[in-house]
Amino acid sequence: MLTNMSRRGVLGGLSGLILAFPLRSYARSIAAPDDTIRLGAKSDSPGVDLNAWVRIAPDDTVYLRFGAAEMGQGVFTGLCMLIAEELEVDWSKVQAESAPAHKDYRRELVSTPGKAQLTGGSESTTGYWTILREAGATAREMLIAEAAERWGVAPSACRAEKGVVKNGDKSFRYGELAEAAGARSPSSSVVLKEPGQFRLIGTDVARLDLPPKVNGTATFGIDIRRPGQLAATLMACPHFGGTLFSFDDTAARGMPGVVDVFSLDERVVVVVAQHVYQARQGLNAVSILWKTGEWGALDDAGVRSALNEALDKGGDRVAQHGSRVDLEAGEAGVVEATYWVPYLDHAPIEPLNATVHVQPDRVDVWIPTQAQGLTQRSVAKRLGRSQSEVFVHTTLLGGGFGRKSFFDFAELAAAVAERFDVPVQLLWSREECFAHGFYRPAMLCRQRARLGADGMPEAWLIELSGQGPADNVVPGFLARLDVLEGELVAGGFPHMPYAVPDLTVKVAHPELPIPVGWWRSVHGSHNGFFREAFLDELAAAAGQEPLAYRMKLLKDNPRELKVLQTAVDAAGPLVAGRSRGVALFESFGSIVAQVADVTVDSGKLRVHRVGAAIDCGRAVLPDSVISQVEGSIGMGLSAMMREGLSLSQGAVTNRNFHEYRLLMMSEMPEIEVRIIESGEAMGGVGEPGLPPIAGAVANALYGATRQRLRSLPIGGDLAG
Amino acid sequence: MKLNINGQEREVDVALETPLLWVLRDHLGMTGTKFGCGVGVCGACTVHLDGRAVRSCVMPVVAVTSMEIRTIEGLDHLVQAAWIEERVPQCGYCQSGQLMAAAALLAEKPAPTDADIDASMTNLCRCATYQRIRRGIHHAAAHLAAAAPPPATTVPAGVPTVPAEPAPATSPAAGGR
Repeated sequence: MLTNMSRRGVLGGLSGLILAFPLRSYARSIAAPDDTIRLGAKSDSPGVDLNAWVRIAPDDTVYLRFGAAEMGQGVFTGLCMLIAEELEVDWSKVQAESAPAHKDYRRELVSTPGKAQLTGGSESTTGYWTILREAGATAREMLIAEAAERWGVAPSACRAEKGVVKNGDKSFRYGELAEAAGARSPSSSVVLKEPGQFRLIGTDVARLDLPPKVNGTATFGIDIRRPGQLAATLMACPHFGGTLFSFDDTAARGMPGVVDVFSLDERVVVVVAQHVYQARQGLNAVSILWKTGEWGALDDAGVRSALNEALDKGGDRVAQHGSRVDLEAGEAGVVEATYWVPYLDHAPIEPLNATVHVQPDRVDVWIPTQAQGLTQRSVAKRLGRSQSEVFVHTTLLGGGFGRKSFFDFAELAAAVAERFDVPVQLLWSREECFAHGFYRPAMLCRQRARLGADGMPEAWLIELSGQGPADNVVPGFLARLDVLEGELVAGGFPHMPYAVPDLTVKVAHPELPIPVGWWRSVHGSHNGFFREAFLDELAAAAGQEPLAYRMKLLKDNPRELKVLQTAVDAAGPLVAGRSRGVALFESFGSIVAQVADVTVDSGKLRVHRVGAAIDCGRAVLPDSVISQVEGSIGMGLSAMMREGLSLSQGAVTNRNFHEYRLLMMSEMPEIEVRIIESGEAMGGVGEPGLPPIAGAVANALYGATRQRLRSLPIGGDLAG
Repeated sequence: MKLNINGQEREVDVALETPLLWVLRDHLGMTGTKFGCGVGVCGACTVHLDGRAVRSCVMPVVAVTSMEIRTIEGLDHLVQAAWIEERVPQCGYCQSGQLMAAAALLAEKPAPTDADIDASMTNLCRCATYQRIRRGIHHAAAHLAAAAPPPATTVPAGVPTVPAEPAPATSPAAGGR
């Protein structure tokens, strides 16, 4: 593959007028040793930048920058592999560095045109796929050119291999070439490997982030310690739409270590102290009166009726295939069912935090963020500074799942730190994290389908009612958001792989004040359940076996058929006494099927084993693909069995893990994941493993109990 | 007051009721022990007190002055190598606590059954690495059996493990696959 670098302008600083000094001055000013987060390693990184992504030290250590956020999905390693594949380095010499927020570190957006430094949408690997391989190849060519010149031979007579450039029996180590190579102009075009030539991609190289994650040295946002740092914590008005009425800080101010107590934005009370515990105790001592707003009476029943009313009013038609058929309730031959899922919190175990140091000439933000670019912009805006003065240092994330793609916690930390000369770390309590999330929206889904004489669906009407996860996004953030809405709320229905002649999808919008956002797998987190559970209802109405029924509907889709069959194979033979359910869902460019085997003993559901298959086109780091599917199944199962936010007086009432329970060790099924490398366009892996599980388990549960599960979480006796 | 942490005597000047978690993180700069819930439920803050796994976020420091405190920074156990072998961590945030809980379990039961693991490993993992944690514990138990009888929280000579002060923490050499 030949790529013209100057046309594509992929390495921002390498094109145009600053060609002569490719990113070297930039790298020195931005990524001085103290500023670059090495995520565990202590040594500073000497060496020379060959471009924005590659730095090579005289001792041959290769420092690779990754622009995405590592939150468990393995990009720390996977993205470095993309560079290293083309750079031809010895993997044992690679060290990873977290890149600062900067336009040069943006990736291609996959689902919409443009670039961003944003970790979401399961797009990191696909979005950096070409950029990083080009960066590696460009640096490699600079090293080869330098060696060739020293030998007086043509670059084509040289080859690079494991950190060495060779010509016959002569060789130079990269460490010997780097300084001079870094001063060379990059070639205007590079040739990238064909997939058959990959040596690293597709192998389970040692994950770079594991050693620090087993000995306590991994640096998460909460672990940032800057000289003179103060500790802050907050409480915001728990009532959505409400405000701060008054607060009395007399007692708090007299407490040990408390430095200051103040309010922000008429809705937040902040306590700053020398240490975290003092700040937390200080906050407990502040007596606060909140004023509920117009939504002060909102509770769970109110949410339900808002969604019901919106549904009854009728939604916008977001997809229409075939004839426009409005199926009526009670019509002969029409199967109807209504499904429900609640609001969910992302609940990463690392609470929200950010450490900010505001100085006259610069603002430093150390933060576990999925959205470096938006964080930089929002902090600059909040402080009235230029974006170029804001330096975002992305730490490891103790889980993200979508929550840390929002920047509320960065803005608030900046607003707090602005009042001090020293760095301040704003750490939210778990209770505040639950009370002020950007939740997975509650969603109501009414489906009707008419079956033909052969039992297959002729017409299918899907009506969804719920807040759209983009409702809180700054207007203009994604210019085409209105176009995407059909996908963000209804995704999985408009373009379903099942052959249905007449398909109608509608989305209704209730007016509610609840902050919502993208939760791992976004639309898939509810539509996988809605679609796949209802499909089993159709199969039952047709008197057909659900797997065979799906296969008939997929007869023209060999990829989906293969995924489904592979998941069945992974599940293995059904153990006597267990009941099996299957589900399929395609999202973020990948196709996943899951087969769940369950029992109900003494009224308690137990998911024993899940067979899963994913077709993600190509797997860069196969073990991380497997672990992402495993984790997605666990998170989906957790949501299904236990999770749901409860509201009273317009506020979340379950605000810690004893009230909002997560799946535990004893409830986690055995899982076998198989990867299908179809060679089709690469898809994501962080999210697509989640949507099928609730449908698969619900369908298995029907076999065990003859009861249709249409409302989550299962709760009650079944969940134990 | 004086504390015995990872075999060393440490002096801290804090309010008596300060939870051990915050003494470790804020006063001693030992950030490997994590804050997750503050109510003793999630287990991210798990440390050993006289060898038993305890949630440090609800443990007043005054209650532990006479105890041997061990944190992830002082853990030198082959369960850590097993964690790398089984590629257990995803985000890794809860794993300090998981490792402390696992090491305490193995000290009590060198060959735990799945039921033992279910009963004692109550720490939350939002990434749901639970099955790999289970495998990691069994893996470590197998190593323990092969090297028996090892002391519970030290590493027998010759058994591969991660270094206590792993050199460049991002170096793959320490991962050693």
